[in-house]
Amino acid sequence: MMNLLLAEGSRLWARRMTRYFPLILAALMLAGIVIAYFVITNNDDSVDFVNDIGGGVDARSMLGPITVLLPIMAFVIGASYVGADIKTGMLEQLLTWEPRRLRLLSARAIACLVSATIIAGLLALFFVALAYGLSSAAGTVDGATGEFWGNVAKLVLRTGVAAGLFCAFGLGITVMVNSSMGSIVAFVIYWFVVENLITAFLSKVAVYLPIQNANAFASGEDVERLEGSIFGGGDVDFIVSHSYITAGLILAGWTLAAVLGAAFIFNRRDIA
Amino acid sequence: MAAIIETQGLRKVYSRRRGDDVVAVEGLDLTLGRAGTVHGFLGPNGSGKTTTIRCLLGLIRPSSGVAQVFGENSTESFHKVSGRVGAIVENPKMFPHFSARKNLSLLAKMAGIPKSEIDRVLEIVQLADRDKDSFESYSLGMKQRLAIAGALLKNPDLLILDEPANGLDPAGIAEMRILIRDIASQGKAILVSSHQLAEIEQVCDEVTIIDRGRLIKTGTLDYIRGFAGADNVIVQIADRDKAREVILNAGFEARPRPEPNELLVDVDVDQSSEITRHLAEAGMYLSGLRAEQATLEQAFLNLTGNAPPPPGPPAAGTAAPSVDQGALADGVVPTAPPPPAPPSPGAPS
Repeated sequence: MMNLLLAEGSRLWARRMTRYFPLILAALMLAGIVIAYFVITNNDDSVDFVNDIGGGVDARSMLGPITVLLPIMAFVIGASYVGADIKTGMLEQLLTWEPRRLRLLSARAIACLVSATIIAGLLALFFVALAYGLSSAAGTVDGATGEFWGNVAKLVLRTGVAAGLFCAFGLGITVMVNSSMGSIVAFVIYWFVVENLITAFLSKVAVYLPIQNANAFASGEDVERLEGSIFGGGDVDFIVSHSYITAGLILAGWTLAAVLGAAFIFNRRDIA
Repeated sequence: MAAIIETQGLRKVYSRRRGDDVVAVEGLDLTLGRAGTVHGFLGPNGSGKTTTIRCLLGLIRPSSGVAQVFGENSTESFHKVSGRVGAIVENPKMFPHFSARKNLSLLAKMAGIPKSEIDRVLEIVQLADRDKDSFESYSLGMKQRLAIAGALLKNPDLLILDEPANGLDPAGIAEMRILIRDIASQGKAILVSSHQLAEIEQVCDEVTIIDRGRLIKTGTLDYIRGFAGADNVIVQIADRDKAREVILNAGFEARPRPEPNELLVDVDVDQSSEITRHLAEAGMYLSGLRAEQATLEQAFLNLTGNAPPPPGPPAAGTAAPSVDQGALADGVVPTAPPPPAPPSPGAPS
């Protein structure tokens, strides 16, 4: 199994998608920070690293600008990883080497989980470094205490893990639908349309959906449920449903469900 | 000792969305494969060759029946013997952007095979000097060779090659033929699926023919060639049309061949003196007479029932067959039923 894990990990890291997508995101982050620097200095403004970017000592809003990007990147990496096999027919070749499909799928899911966690964690760190540089050059980094940095470290770690889970989630969904493009399109539609609709109409259900829990887990915030109807008039309130730890477990549950579903289908599918 | 490859009542039905099921393999019983031999697996397009191979490799589940390799059920426990089986199904498949070495190294890593093996197989397929080029930059022949290198990495006892000559130019086909014989000479059992009969005839020791998912015949190459039909002789004579008339009047079938001044006569070689006698009595003397070689193609066409009808007699006064007639005459096969199978010890049918 270790050989298989190493082989799958090597292959994932050798893919252009795995290397270039994060590099493009890093370049976009750099460009965004440079633009922000010029906007701030041209307006004779300044930025406070801890309070403006971090949102306080708990640093919950530190990675706000990239919260959407990292899970999508991770999902795309996971989906394209198995999608390439489907497209090239390489799956046949691989199955003549490792016919135990559950082992193959497990190795891939683990490779996705670990690799995307590392990649997203590094990108999150890079963003923190850029934001720190921006604040140093065009504002202040005062107040960045040990507690603050500890919170930043936890934030980076959780963001990485959330991305890792999304990568394995993407892999699972793609194996089920047998198309990387199909799964990516469905995922983006789900993210921006379906889950928002469910949140608006079925708030009690929405607190168990993956995106909301991913956001809560990564940022370290509680998941809140909408009480009352936003369409029916009357009072509307937000009530805490569960903690960010539970949110992380729910996200892991979704990932596990996707991988198990993929295993069930993949184990029975004719590879032809 | 269990056969290398065995199927019992293998059946595979593909269900289509619109409801009409397609039976790809229908109750196939096979027992084949010996170390050091090349076994040809023949059948027309859509006859079920690739489906059978996929069943043997555990890639698809049979609808019923069993496929076994080295005594292991391919559906349930192919992993127990996968290290002894190298395979290429249909097209060579590798990651297009990775180099040859990278592709092989990823496969080797899966099975914990040392990197030195990569050099060995690259040497065998003569790609050592192009190992850093990407797979997508390779010609089809090179891709086929790299795929074979991938299959050889495991140092398998059984090599399954599905249509290895597909899309190759004549030079590539010749290279592939030499490579397959070389590998077999190292004691490997090789199963080559193809519909390129001339290639199979040159490279295989044994042949299995299937059609519409059913076994038609299996045995040694000579045994299968025995189904080519009645023996023919080729008569070379100056006035072909007149000679044909004489031979027809003597009660033999005769057809013009594409070569000028040649006739194909349906007669056993032992009885060819009858032909010369009738011609001599008509004052005609032949310039040559030889037995026509029975080919695998003829046997295949006879056995699969795809033999083209014999051409009709040429119009009176026709000096030579047209190109179309010639093409037909060239591919003509006897219409008589196949002769009894020649004795072939150990060749099941």
